Amino acid sequence: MKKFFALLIIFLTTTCGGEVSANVISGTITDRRGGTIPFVSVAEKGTTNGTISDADGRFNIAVRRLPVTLSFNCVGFNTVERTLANEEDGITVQMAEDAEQLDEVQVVARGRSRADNVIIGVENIQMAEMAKVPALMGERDVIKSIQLLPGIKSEGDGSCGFQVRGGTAVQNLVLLDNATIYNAGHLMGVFSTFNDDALTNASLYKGAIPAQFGDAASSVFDIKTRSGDMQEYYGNVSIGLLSSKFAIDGPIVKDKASFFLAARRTYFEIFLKPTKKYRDKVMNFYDINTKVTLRPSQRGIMNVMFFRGRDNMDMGNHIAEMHWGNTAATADYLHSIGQCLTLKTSLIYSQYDFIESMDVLKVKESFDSYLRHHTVREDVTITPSANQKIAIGLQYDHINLKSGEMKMSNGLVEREMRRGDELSFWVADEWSPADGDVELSAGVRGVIFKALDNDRRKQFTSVEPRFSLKWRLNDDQSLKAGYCRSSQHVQTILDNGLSSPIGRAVMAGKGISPMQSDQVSLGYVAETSDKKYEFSAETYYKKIANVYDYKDGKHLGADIALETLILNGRGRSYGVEMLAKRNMGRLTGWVSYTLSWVENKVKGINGGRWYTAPNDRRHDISIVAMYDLGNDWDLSATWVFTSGQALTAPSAKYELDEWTHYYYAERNGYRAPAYHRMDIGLNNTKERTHYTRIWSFGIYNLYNHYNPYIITFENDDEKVTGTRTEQVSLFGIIPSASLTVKF
Amino acid sequence: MKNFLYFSILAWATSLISCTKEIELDYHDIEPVPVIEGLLSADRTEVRITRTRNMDDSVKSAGIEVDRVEIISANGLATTLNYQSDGFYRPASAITLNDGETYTLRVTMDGVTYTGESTLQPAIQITEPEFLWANLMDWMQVMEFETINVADDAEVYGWIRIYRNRELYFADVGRIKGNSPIDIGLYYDSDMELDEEMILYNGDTLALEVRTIDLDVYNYLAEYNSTKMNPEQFFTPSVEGKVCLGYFAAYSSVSHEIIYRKTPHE
Repeated sequence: MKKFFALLIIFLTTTCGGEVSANVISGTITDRRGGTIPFVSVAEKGTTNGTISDADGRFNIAVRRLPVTLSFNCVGFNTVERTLANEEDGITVQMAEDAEQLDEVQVVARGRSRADNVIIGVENIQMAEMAKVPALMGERDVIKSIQLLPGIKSEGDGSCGFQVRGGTAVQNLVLLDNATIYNAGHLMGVFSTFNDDALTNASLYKGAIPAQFGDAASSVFDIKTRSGDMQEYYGNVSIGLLSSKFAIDGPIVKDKASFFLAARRTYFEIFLKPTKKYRDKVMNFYDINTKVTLRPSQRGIMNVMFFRGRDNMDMGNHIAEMHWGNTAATADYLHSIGQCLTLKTSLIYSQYDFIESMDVLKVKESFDSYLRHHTVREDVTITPSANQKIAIGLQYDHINLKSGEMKMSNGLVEREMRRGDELSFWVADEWSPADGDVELSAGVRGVIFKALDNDRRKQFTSVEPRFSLKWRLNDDQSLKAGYCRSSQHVQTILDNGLSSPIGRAVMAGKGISPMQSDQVSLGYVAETSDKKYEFSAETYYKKIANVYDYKDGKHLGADIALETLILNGRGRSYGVEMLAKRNMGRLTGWVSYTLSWVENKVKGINGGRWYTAPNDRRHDISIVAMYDLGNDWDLSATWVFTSGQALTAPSAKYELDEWTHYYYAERNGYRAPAYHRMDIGLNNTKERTHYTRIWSFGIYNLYNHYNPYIITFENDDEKVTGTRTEQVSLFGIIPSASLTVKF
Repeated sequence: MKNFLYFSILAWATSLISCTKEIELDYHDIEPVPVIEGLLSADRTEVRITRTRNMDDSVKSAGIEVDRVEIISANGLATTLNYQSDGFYRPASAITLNDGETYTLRVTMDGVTYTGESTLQPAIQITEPEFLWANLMDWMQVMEFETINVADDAEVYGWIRIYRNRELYFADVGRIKGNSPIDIGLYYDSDMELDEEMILYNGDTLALEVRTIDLDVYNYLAEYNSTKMNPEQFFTPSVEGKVCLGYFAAYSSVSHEIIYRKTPHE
């Protein structure tokens, strides 16, 4: 294998060296912290020639003559111009944040707009844009923000689970610097696991997932963390009603090494202390993000990242308690060789664990589970010309899963543990001829997954083609098409169709087949010539093999062996999503609408007929508006509407053992009431000599509409209707305030 | 345990912020489905047959008379049960029962025969129940007792029932391995907003009954209790696709009666 890589590198170096014509400039664009900046516009001044930096901030441009002046543009940063007399490779272009621009409510999608991107169904999230959107309890949240985009739905109030194009939350792969994060929510999903201060950008692939990513039947959410500044020290402190956080970063050795540290903790339980009933209770979470960046040479950058998020709940004196969270650590080294070859080597560890215990009188019981990934990954990027980029890679994962271990008072111990190895490799090519109307991104991913346990030993292989095409109709309009096949070998089985810390995972093996999705999508993108307005529409059809649903009468805790509780079948989803966006001016924002259907067919459920999936919702509307009031004030508002979620409700009742029971004739045959809510936010930002102060005020659920969270049924023979149906709602109107000081 | 604990904590957490309101749901009507409840023990042998009713029907279903109801012993001896009233069927004379033997209930109605089997389990012994404070929630008292004649390596399936003033107040099933303490959380009158029917009052007569049942009955009841949804069908119909609800349980039982007195809070 080592020999193979050496040959590959020599071959690639030779190949691209041979193909490069004259005058190619390549390099990496970073911020002052050393963090790479994706999707920066790079233009040859005085011409129409240009390109855009990739997700790792790398660019490669062929220029017509030397010397040349290159202009680097990105919203939120000062424009940089660099004049070069000779052909150069591996240059580093540093861009400084434009504080004034960020403080304005002039939110432009920093980076690739839908029109620019060849890949269909990708959403690029910038933290600067996210900061303006109102948030629950004043906590800005990257996961809550993406739920405002077309084709992406929240599981429900207070949930950090998101559903993409008819997929469930467990069919999404969430990556933090390439480390897999499970159940990305704090406090049962009220807050996300991710502290926005620690993030730079994120990309959600909901259509054609690039070949570099796998193990996701529905979508990949790729989140990147911040690096420390290489020259100056910066920090910020934020104090909110329910949580506080700080972030600090700066150089360890100027221009050579930097650090970044951010931490957040809630103090919700303080509000419980004055009450006699709840004073012993514990309900808190914390998370820590840290990153060290080293730049040993102009051609190499090394990052070491650590993340830990933890939730703690205790009903008092350890009588009944629950703890859960994610831990992730990554180390990667990015190195450029020659003009057009970049290597990135990554070592990745991630763990999600959950433990609960009860110690009441003579009952001492506990349950715990974990899911661990040990990963080695190599990414090779070749840019043989300014119009073409080839990505080749290899990844090995060793996965340890303890799906559950129950210890009972009577000494009974039940345990379910699994191990698996996964080897993935990919080749992808992105090709955009300078004068052509067609751009193409095509790739293929191969996966070999081996379940290692004796009783379930089995090997699965899959070949997953990925493909995206953009056809430019004219300067302002494009058509797009895409196809993606993706398989997933580890999945969490949801309880009640919602993400929760107790969700138990299963791994492919004998008796459990990997999920595999095939999606085709078509899209149309248009923008005005001044880029002020943007419109897009995409339609998709997705089918998934090996979706799992509970057998009648079974639930998550019914048996330690999950295989005995679930049935396997197939699913399909289809729909259309539309977005109209205003990018510039005092008023910015967007309106998105999704019309969709999601259905499953599982032998043994609903008589083996197609039935509505629990995450099916017909209409989904989001309106987001941000307005610059002037004098340091900005106002934002969001309104969301979603059709009622599919619901399994009884069709009849009967008496047995003196009590009334219910009979369910159909799975998900009813609809819960529709969900709608309006939030508003108000920010005041003051620039001082040595610091910036931001007051943020918000109201979540402005008109106090109680949305369905749980629906219960109770027999009531004194009522004419015979049944009392009740809706439990989680959040009414919630005001919030926070103070942030940046220095 | 896993679900109980998680949902207890979740219920506590959501109770801090949530609210409840009544809503209207347009329930679908379906053809009534037969329901069979068969019990066989040393002092009680009866089968009741009813049908389901629509969700918006506030009148309980009356019992129905069917073509034939019989219980067949392990030795093949069939005893026909006679119709009494309101769907109840009882034998003319007691059926001889033996621990470890399997009995079959066969009900014929509308041209379909539904068949279910149950194996009689030996009774276990339990200590006198007592009341303790759970210290889990201020509103919960715990009735605690222990099993005393279960072998260390034996696993029995218990159907625990508590009658308050002769009305069924609590029923659940559990796996008992060896001699184990069993704690049952019960409500007492407090400032919590609890279902009034569930609150215990000083002087209430509580009768504890522990039935030992076989695995099939345990699975049926456990599935219903944990999900409140359709358990796997207990009875096998002679015509494929026919649905029938309910179970047939051969059981042995032990009982204790206690007067509830609120114990001092520790």
